[in-house]
Amino acid sequence: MYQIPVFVEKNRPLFKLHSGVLASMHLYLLIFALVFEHPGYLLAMLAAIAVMMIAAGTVPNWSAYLRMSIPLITFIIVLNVLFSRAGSTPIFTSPITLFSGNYYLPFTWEALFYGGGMALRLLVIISSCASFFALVSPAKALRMLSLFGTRWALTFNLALRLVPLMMEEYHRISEVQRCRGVEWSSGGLMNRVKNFFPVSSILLLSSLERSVAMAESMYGRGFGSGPRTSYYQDTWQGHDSLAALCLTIAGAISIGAMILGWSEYSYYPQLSSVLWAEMWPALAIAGLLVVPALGKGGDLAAATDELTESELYLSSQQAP
Amino acid sequence: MSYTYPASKHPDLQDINLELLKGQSVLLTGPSGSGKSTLLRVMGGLAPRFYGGRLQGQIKLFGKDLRQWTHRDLSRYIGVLFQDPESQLVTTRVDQELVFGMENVGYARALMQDRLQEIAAVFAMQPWLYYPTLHLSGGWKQKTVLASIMAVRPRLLLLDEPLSQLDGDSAEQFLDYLDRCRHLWGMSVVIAEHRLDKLVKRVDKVLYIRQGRIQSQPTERISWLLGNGETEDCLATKRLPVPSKGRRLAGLKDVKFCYPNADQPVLKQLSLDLHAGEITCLMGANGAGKTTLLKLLMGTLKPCQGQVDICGENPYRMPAPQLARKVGYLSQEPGDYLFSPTVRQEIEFTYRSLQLKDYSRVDRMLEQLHLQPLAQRNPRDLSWGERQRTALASILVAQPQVLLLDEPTRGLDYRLKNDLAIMLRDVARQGTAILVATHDHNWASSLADRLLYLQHGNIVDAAHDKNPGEELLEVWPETV
Repeated sequence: MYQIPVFVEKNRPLFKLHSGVLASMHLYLLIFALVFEHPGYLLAMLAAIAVMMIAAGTVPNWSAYLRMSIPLITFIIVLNVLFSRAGSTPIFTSPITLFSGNYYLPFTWEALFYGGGMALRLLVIISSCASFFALVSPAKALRMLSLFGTRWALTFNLALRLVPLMMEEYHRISEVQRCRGVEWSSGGLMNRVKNFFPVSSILLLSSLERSVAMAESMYGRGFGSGPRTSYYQDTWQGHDSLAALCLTIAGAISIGAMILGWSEYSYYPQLSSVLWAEMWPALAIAGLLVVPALGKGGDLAAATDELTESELYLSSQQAP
Repeated sequence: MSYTYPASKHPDLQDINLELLKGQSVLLTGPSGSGKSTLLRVMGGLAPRFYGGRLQGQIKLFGKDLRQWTHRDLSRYIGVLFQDPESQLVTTRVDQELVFGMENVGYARALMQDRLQEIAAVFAMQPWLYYPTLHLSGGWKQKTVLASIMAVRPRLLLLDEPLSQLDGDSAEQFLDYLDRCRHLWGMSVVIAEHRLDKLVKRVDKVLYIRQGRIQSQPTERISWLLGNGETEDCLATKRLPVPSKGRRLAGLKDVKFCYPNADQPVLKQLSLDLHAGEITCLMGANGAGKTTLLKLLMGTLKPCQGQVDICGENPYRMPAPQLARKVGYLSQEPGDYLFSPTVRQEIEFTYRSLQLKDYSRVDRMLEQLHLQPLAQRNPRDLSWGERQRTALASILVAQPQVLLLDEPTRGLDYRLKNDLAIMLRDVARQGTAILVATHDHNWASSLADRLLYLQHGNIVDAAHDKNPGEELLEVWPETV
């Protein structure tokens, strides 16, 4: 049975972090996933996210996002191998015989590794988004974005709330379309693409209709009528200061590695060698990022947005 | 007062004169598309503020023109509850949802704290205060949104078909909560609803709206609808009891089904046969497993134990084109079927998808379901009832031998329900086995050849079982 990744509050250190710290941490991951080229640095970031996800108990959420990204990652690698001609080390050294002639396939190791590097970057970006959605409640995000204006908050919150609903709708639409002879999950590629069209069109139309209904409801409940107050408040605690310090040091090391050119890597025309002396910043960054995920975390009573042990128990009971 | 939507050429509401007293409760009824929701939107200040359009005349709230009210004050004084609770839940946890409205209108934290405790007590929500909203049942979602609106303590509450997705018990419970709020806080309530039987005895006044105008002699009209009209219309569709059963077309044998991570199975050793030309109506509370049973028959779920067959074949293993010719399924959301630019193209899509040859069937289907005048319209622009007919046509064009319908009367007025019953009777007459999951016991009992009740994971035959259990006797004594 398909499981929809939704936000579920847990009694783990990362959930107790201030939303500003969590947002900064994920913004850092996103920015440096785009800046770093070296696969070692990207791998270190991915490893840090993996530790964070394990420590937060949100691996099922992460794996759902990873499953969804497999086709895209495969596509990037295959496309790069097939069409990139910048490499110099062929994968196939022997010719293959086609139509009574010998041909050298122009696929290179460099193209394969470059595709792998791009896929790794995409994985870091997707994983940091998955981590953000798993750790930051929509209510926290709404409060945070309300500081920048209600339109921002509205857009973001609608997206956050509608994603799980869209997934549910996607499954429902696929089921009902099956009774019209439409099955996009089996058959040849062309058939799948053709049959995916009605499912995606209905999903888009339904989502638009739902967005309007939700916006109307929010308007009716006074959203956007002026400054909001907040029942739940994030309180800055000791572990937030520690996390902020770790993030600042990680940021400084990242910028240093970037200036020194240690985070760069050239795939073409030949794979450049890895200098282990230039890799210590990657390990340091990974270590610093996982520090807030380990340890006891903040005081539950001090942060009113977080649940006590008994509340967590109640929230895990069967649905009414 | 008159109001015209931006895209309309003629007024959608005309010459509305209405006075609402403090603490009064008013039921607003009328056919689908008559303007009930529009009137609520205008009263709630959503039209023209949110929708645009042109408003003529005057609306006064506590003696002050509605146009002079600020958005914030309106949100404090008027609460609006819409039909679909899913589209109204903004946050992911019940407690956060309860304070959402109060945060929007700027209540102080101490006040919110008091109100949260109070509202949780009134609605008996304390045990579920920290539960994720996504996993709540439909009834609980609706209750949560109502509680959130009530926490702001509005003076006027406007509800747009709040019962449409609730079963009998949940609807009664919802109305009990509403009554409790009214008595506690003395607010005025306007409810637009088709389920009159649940409401007529609870309200002070009934208004009938038709073609954008409030009609005269509303009470007599409602009495007629409840006493004669509805029953007469529906009885017209009832055929005599089937003397002998038709050919067996589909069924479940000793089926057990359990969702992953669930403690209890939804269905336990359930057996059911569907016969050609027979209409079977399946009732049961929200979450009883009605939709699960339909999904097992259409092959999207696989039973944990037992067998499911459609014309002797396992639907779970059937390829989609083959399945579509044997089983038709109409879900609760007709919008799940519609994406083509016109109604005709929507029906033709199924036709092309299944590579059918007899093209005249499309026209026959348009005619049979009274869709000919709408053939060139975009199905997404149609009313709920028209959308549902289009979705039904797009399924029936494949001439399935078994037709499954999930809550088909949701959002339909009495006239449309009657039309649907006549259509289903026609389809059954052609030899199709029909299984309908519904909450609407009046409609079901007038339509069904066989009335079944799903309870504790198994089926109770309401027509033949002399002792179907206290719960059933309590809910539908007249049926038993």
